[in-house]
Amino acid sequence: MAEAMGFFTDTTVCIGCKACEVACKEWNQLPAENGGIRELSGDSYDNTRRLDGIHWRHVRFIEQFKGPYDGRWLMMSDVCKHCVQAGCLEVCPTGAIIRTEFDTVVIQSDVCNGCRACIAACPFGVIDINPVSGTAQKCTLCYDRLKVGLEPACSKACPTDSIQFGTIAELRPRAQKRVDQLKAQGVEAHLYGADPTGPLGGLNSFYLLVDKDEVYGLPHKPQLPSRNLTKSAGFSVLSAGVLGVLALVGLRKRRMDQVGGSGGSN
Amino acid sequence: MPGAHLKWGWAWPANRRNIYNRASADLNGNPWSERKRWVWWDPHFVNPPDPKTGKPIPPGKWVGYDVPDFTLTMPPSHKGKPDGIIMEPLSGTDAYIMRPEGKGWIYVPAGLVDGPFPTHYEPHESPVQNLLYPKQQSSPVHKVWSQGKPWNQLAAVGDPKFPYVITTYRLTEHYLAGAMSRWLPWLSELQPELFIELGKGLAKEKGINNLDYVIITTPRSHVRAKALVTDRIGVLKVAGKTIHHVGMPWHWGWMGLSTGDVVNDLTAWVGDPNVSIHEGKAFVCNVEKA
Amino acid sequence: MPPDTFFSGAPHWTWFIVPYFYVGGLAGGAYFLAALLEWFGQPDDRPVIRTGYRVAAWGAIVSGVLLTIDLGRPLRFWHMLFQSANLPAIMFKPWSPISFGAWAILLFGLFAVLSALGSAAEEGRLQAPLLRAVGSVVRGGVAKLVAAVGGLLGFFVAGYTGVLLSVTNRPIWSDSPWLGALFVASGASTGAAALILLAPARGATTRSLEWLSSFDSKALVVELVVLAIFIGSLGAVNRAWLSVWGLLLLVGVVWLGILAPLRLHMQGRPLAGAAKLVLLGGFLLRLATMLASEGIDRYRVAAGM
Repeated sequence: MAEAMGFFTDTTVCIGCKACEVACKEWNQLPAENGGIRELSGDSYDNTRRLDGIHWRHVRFIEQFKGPYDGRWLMMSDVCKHCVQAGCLEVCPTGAIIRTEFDTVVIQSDVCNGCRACIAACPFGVIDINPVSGTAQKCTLCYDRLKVGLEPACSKACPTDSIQFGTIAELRPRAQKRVDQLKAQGVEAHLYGADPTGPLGGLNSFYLLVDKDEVYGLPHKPQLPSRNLTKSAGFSVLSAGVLGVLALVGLRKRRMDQVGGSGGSN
Repeated sequence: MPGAHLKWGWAWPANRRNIYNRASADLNGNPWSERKRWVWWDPHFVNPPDPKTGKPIPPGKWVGYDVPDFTLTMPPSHKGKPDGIIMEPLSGTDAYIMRPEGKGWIYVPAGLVDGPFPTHYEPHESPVQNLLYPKQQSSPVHKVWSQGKPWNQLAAVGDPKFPYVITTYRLTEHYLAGAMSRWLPWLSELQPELFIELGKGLAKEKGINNLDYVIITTPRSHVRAKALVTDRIGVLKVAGKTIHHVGMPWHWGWMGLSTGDVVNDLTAWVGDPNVSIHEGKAFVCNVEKA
Repeated sequence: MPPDTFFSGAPHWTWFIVPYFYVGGLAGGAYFLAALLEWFGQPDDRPVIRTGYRVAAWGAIVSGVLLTIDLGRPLRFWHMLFQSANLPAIMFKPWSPISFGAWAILLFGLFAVLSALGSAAEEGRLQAPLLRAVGSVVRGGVAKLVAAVGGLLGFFVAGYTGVLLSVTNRPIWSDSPWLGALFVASGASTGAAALILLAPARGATTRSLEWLSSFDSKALVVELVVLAIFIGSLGAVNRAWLSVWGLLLLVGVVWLGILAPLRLHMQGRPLAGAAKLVLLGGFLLRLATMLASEGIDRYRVAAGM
């Protein structure tokens, strides 16, 4: 495998310009929802609402105000996390979801049949069906651009370098330095997904956050779907076993009753 | 944090953040104060030879947090050529390099109709008296078109029919009046509808919930928009009064994928004395649930 | 803070998948019972056995159709069986329930159809020579073998859907390891109920029907117990039931679908009424558990709604 590559997103310098959203749409030629005719969401300046089949980048706006002018406005560009241990890849029954030589997670559009198992498996709610293709689609970390040595469209467009692209080996120490710098200024910063011993083996698109993970719409401890496999299958077998035994016992009782009453007139 | 953060964004043309920043250093090229250190002369800097002529350049360079707005290797002691051409008359202390004589002007004899010093005037519509000049509320040389006509009524100071201060502004996603941006699907879906931003206090007072339609009225016109209730905008405490502040982006019009009322219809036909820009950033209005 | 599973996205497994889960469970349960009777039953159980095979075969076919239509690209259904980019390599991920489920449905359908053809041949109802040839092979020892394998596959098909739901990151489904067990029990109870309703037309004896009915009662009790364990295991996630789905679960599933039929059984009422209620309750169980989770979507949670 070539080196693992991905994103480090420093949300403290994000300005909420959504250049990443538009650059992604432009490069991947994704359609606008309903041709661009929509309703205001009412959720601050976020009208994209969530990542889905035609929105592979989504800028979140989190207003934290105690009173007029008293507070802060957090902004964060959400994207597929390209998990080192990916739930979507785990469950995909067609083998459409693969891990590339860049350690990114990509859905092969010509293989996917739209069963939607990956949508339910992703702990972050990243994937959705693209209504145009009928298949599941998400950020590819611009696999086609990476293959020719370019950086992804979103990180190239980001004017403040909030989205930084590079090898994971160089992004992680850079991120830690930034966390230390912010902490020295009294800002409660932490990294989300930068720990290879952490949830999902680390995320190849990891974040610097200044509040709790859930505030940004991120699960605190994301897990793989297969965590439930053994227990769930085991209990099913148990249930079937109990029912099988009950059925057999019933049959035996019936036979016994029959044998016992065969001398009678009934 | 100190510094110009030159890697954060880009300022055309050379990523210089402060025009005429040679002026941040004194006549000898040292910062006027440590606290305001910005651009300064480093006399020991070893310069490579001139790439065009190959001639050696004496040591010394303007350095600093910002990109210097000055000839990089011109020392503060340099004397200009009085009969030179283009930039030759400028000396090492002439920070205002785009002026012919290299000096900053406090007062101009021609071109501007107001000056020489900034002062405070209230906008043509204001909820409060001008505390600095009780007898001169707003700029005496402001342009007013159709003065007194019915379509250009101005609210009196503190008119209770228009108790809120309104400002208009731009959004990232749309451009000017939106004639170009509101036809683009990718931009229209990012900001699909006109809205007014108002504080939670005002919303509670008028019974307005997030996304309710409201009518915004000024003495000129009225528009309808959805309410975006947020504490990013709020109340001003001026002259002992608590005044609600509301804001609207002015990108909308009636054609395109994304349509809405024209917010500039609310403004008065009052303009800047020099460049005639209409006063769309500060006027008064009323807001009611639709 | 909402539980972690509330931050995932809804897969919109709804209008085709809810009926599929129901029909699949019912078919699996019916076949399971028929297979049990094939091995351990008596000659007068044959009408029930034949009904069971028929219900299972049609159920499997309908399941396959529902699953295929539900896909975003239905014509690519075979991508779950063979590697589309690497034919003719098989596509199989034993750790992915949806992958082994695709094979299970296929194989179960095969076995169920074989058994159904066998029992149709037994009844002398097959006209087409090919079908008659196949059907006549499936009897005696062959029929028992087919029933054994098919029976296991049947339980599998009834239960794997619950396992599939738990091997996700969706609220309710993946917050408990008991959904598979619950669906197995429901498959058994609805399978028995379907046979109680349909087997009389094929000449099922009172004795067979009574065994079915007594088994159905036991299955309902197991279902109730597992449902209670399932709800208990959800912990804080149970707040999701403070909705119309919770009401449906309580009224439609627990009361109408389990307690009412149990009462009818105990009162010795005619079997058909209780059986219909069980069938309704089984469907409502799938509906409630599926849609309660579907309604929780990341956007609404994250936006504080």
